[in-house]
Amino acid sequence: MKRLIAYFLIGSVPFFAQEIKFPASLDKLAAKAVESVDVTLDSSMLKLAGKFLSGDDPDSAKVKKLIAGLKGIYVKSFEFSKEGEYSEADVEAVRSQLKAPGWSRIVGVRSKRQGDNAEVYIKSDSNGIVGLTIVAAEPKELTLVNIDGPIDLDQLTDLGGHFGVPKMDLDRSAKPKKAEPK
Amino acid sequence: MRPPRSAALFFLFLSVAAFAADRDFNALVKSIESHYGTNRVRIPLLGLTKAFVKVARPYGARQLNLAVFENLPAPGDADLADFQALLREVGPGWQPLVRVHSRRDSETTSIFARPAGRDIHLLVATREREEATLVEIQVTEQLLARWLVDPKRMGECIVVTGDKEAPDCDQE
Repeated sequence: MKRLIAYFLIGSVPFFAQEIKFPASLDKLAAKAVESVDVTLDSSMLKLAGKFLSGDDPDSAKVKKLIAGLKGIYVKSFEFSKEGEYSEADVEAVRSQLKAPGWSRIVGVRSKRQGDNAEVYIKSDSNGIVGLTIVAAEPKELTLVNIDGPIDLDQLTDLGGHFGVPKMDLDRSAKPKKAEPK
Repeated sequence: MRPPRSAALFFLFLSVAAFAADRDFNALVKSIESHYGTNRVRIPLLGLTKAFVKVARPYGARQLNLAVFENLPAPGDADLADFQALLREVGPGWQPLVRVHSRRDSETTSIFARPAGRDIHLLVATREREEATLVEIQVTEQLLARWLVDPKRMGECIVVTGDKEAPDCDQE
């Protein structure tokens, strides 16, 4: 009977537990964008993906390890035909959430696709990094990534290109020392 | 010999879940029909539709429901947004997974997922040209896991419309 109740609960629990809330205004940007992609992978989907990733293939094994403890990956990306299609307020609605305690901006990480304008924020507690948000705001492109859960920055590059996360480059020389609290 | 009570309850749960999934699918069909003032193409006529729709059935996937809507107005920006709004009425328990919206191709695709025992039900809604397609398929966890690695392509892996080439999506 307990199992039955569990099945019902699994089916009925709202999946949403995303810590950084992407504002509803971003959904309206999809209508202006030439292309937009919205990916929502909660812990159950990530567990499922991890369950079947091959441990034999080195690349898959890295990704499998990386997503093992994650609670969610949320990606929103927009590509516009001209500049000025999104406002600073659209992005600020996300940035303001990253001023909460525990969040800090790091430098030395850049997106291969987005150039140097990617801001990377991490959330830390006594156990280490427990969340990461990327805000890549280009004149004609906007990409927001929220990774909920413990993640090793050195492995972030391995996640790029998977689950809708853009490919990232890590500038290891700059990363560890230049954290600037927001 | 009587089957164990837990097994009977489990099958009851599966029946209820299947009923709920059908109800959600039919409700969405009605919403689309009502919004566009049209009816879905009847199953015996699907082969005669102008809209060539192919639902991919790689190993591990089973088609449950399909509805095709033809002769809709060519989708403008507002229409694509309206179509997305209709999909928000999908029943509880469906998790939004991926939404790809392209003004360049006047096309929008949304995919929702819902656990169904050991498998997963996927609801895929596409709107392009003068057509809309609603597909519900059941996939194994293994197949979905492979598709999740590149979620942007997932819609193309499931529904192939018009003269598009079916991508090779079910590779290990």
